[in-house]
Amino acid sequence: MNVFLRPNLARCLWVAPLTALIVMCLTLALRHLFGMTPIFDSEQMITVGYLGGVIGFLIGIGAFDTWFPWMLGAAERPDDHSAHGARSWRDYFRFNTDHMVIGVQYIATTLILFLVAGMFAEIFRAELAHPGQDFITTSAYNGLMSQHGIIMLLGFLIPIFAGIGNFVIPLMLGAPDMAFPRLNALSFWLLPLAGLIFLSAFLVGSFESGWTAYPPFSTRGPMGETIFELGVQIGGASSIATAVNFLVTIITMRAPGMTLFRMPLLVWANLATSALVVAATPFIAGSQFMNMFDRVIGTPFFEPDLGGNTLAYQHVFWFYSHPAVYIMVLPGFGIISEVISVMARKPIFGYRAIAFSSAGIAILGFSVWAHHMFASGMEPWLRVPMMITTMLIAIPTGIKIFSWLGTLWQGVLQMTTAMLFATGFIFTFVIGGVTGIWLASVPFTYHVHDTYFVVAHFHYVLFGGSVMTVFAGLYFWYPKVFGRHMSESLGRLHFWSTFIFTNLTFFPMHWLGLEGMPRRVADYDPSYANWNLFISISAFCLGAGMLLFVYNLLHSARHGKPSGSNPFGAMTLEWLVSSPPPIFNFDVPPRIVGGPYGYGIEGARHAMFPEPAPAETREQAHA
Amino acid sequence: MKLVIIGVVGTIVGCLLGVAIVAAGTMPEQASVQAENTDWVYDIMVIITGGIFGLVTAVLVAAIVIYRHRRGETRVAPPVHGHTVLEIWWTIIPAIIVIFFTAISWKALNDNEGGKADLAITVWGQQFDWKYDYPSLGLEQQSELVVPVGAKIDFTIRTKDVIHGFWVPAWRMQINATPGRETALRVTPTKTGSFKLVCTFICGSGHPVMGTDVKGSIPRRVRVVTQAEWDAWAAEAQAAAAEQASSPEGAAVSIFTKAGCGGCHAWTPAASTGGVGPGLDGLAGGDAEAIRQSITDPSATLVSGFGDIMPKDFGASLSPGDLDILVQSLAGGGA
Repeated sequence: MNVFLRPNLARCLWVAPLTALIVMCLTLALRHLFGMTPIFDSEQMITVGYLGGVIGFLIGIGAFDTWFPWMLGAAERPDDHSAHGARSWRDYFRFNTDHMVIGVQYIATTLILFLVAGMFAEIFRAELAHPGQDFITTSAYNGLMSQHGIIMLLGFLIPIFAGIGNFVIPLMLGAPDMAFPRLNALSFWLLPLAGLIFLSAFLVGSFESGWTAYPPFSTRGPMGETIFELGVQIGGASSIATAVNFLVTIITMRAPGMTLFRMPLLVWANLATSALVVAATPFIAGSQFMNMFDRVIGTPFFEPDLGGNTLAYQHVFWFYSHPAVYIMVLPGFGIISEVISVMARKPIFGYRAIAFSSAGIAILGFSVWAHHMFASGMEPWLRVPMMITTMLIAIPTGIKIFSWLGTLWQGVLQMTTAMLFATGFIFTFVIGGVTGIWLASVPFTYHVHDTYFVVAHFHYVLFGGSVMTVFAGLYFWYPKVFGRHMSESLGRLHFWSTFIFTNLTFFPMHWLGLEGMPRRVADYDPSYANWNLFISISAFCLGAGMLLFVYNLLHSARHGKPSGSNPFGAMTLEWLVSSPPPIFNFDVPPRIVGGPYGYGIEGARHAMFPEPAPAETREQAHA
Repeated sequence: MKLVIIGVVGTIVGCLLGVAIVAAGTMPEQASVQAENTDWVYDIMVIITGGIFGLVTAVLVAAIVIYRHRRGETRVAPPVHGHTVLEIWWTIIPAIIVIFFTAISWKALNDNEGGKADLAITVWGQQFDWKYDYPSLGLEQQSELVVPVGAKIDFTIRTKDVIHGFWVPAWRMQINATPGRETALRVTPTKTGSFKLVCTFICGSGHPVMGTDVKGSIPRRVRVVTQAEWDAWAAEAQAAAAEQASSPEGAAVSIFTKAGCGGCHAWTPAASTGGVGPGLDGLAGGDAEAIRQSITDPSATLVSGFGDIMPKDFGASLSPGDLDILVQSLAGGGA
């Protein structure tokens, strides 16, 4: 078959624009039919055009090649698994249903978006290095700042955990794949679309309202705001579909013998996260739909001039976006639990407490959203209850930290790069956690709300926290993906540059915020010039360190030290198969016979395989 | 035992670090009762959480130093799965600490907002300046907020367009100006002087201009004066307003001030000095239609050197009659 007819990116090239064009013509025809003037409305055109393009792209890539004939009642074709696994690099650019391929696709896409959004930060840090308007306008600054925020959150942090989970979780469960492989591939292909949609806003005037997009600034802003709202829908849909997939996979596809309390803690973390996503993400979808309708079809949800309520937006938005903070960090906690236990050669300390604290955070996480709104002028009585719940959520988080310390104590610590990131994470995350407790205090928030103090706080939590866990996870599972180690010496250099410059970049921001520097400003009081210059220089160094990581990541895939199947002597299932794992993961279905962290215990096993024996397993990394 | 010593030392060092941070004075000048209450909560939280930070860091670093695997070492880690008593303690103690923080924060919040107000002032946010109404004096002022020291002041914060954030760091108080509703803030100034007034919420291209002391803008200030000075200021301002109302150019100046034009534009008749937008004195004798268009459709022609940041809704918010008066006055040099 011709390359433009087979399901692939080439087919997208003509199907996506064609679908967009058809929907746009349809809209024009309808507007004409109903006698609406003017017949061309750019906001509506861009909305339906983008949606048409997204659907067309999915048709082109082949997302519906099985579903459409099935819906039309065609005889069911038994799946020949031709869309499964990767034989060459080209297979990574296809609608691939293999969870390991999808995991790699996710990680590669999110890392590219991470670099792009990081680049935006470097550009506006350059502008902020010196007071006054130097080389970008305030509008351009606002656009870059907003793009940096939304791409980092929706294009990088949330989906990279979906990527790591995609690769690792079915293996950990002893499952051949995710529960819904086609839905899994569909979720992935929505992600690069979301990224491209966000970036395309630059073409028409980027959204300038920050990633929170509060109306009425967002409802009255340039067309980029509509594109922002579309991007959130697409990214959100991807996120929800993945979460449903994880939930079903974890609940129904565990290997025989894997009771809930024999699940590795990453699986627990992912279970809690997925429940959060399924329950919370529809709220941001709803808030952005309403915002978009206000702009595109003139509904009065949030537009005050039409009787809308701007505070209602903030409530709905944060009802998602606070749980989203846990969506961005709980899987990281899971990664840290895995890495620390394996590298300390010691069972995880307080397994059940860690598992339950994930669940506790997920539940409490729904009752704290209005702490983002203490200074918004919301109903005053809501402040104290929200302060109490926000304070309380520090307790399960503290339990995790203390449990990790308990695991480290008396361990035999293998200070690999993954372990460096895991321990570095504990240090930086505690700083973010401590300032989080301060911010729960209403009087204190009245002072620092929407200042650089808050910027410092959430960068400590998300960069010093989540991003560190991402690096720990990538260095840890890299050998499983490629059968080769990443360079340890480059890895150490990457760790130290990240650790040092994270602190140098974000710590001084606390001071600036307390002193009086508001966030989201392209220009500031010249008396803050010295600290801002210092922060900008540190931010450039932080960015430069990432280049080491990118080089290491790419170079080691071919030239890294061969790792064998279980280089760290881990006990969980993913390490008991070859690296990279065979297609459908397990040639022989495993049986779970014990907990996942029996390190240091004579004869302890997590899983065993009935005959014939699988790839070599080693109990100790240094044996 | 080793763990206990390291933990205790770490906690103490962390608390001392907290004390050092508090002593170093990380907060700006303290100029209200609310600031005193807030700083007290802040100081306590810094010292206690400093202890937690010290504890975690000390145990973390000590574990890495003591228990890192050394080449050739064959030690096996003890297979400890947990310690119930320890786990209960590290749940209970943090719980007590955060409940304590909640209690003192709640108390500070009540102290901040309690008592009957002595003075009510309405603050209007607008792209990209503030405007102050003193209902008890019948005054509307632009460039500077003037309040008497020691009075319990109830601020009502409102906005004419998008969300703004009203923040006076020296008072430790801020609240958003939210469209469609009135938000409230209680402040009791304790110090005379001139203090920064910052917009904390992104409100458009001119947002940094509302954020005080940026190059090219007039600094936004709160001036706190003694009661006697305040009375004198009020009498003077009332007299000036009365004089203006009776003068021929008074009507135009009043419209100009009420619409908030002076926040960005310098215009001699209104004594405004804003430097965000182009000065308007040079318009005298100019084309009235062009001036009108620049108000109702500011994007149509831009003065070189200035961006397209002027709000686009003055055509709708100014009545046609007011617009005529303003345009004539601008074109006629204030007459």
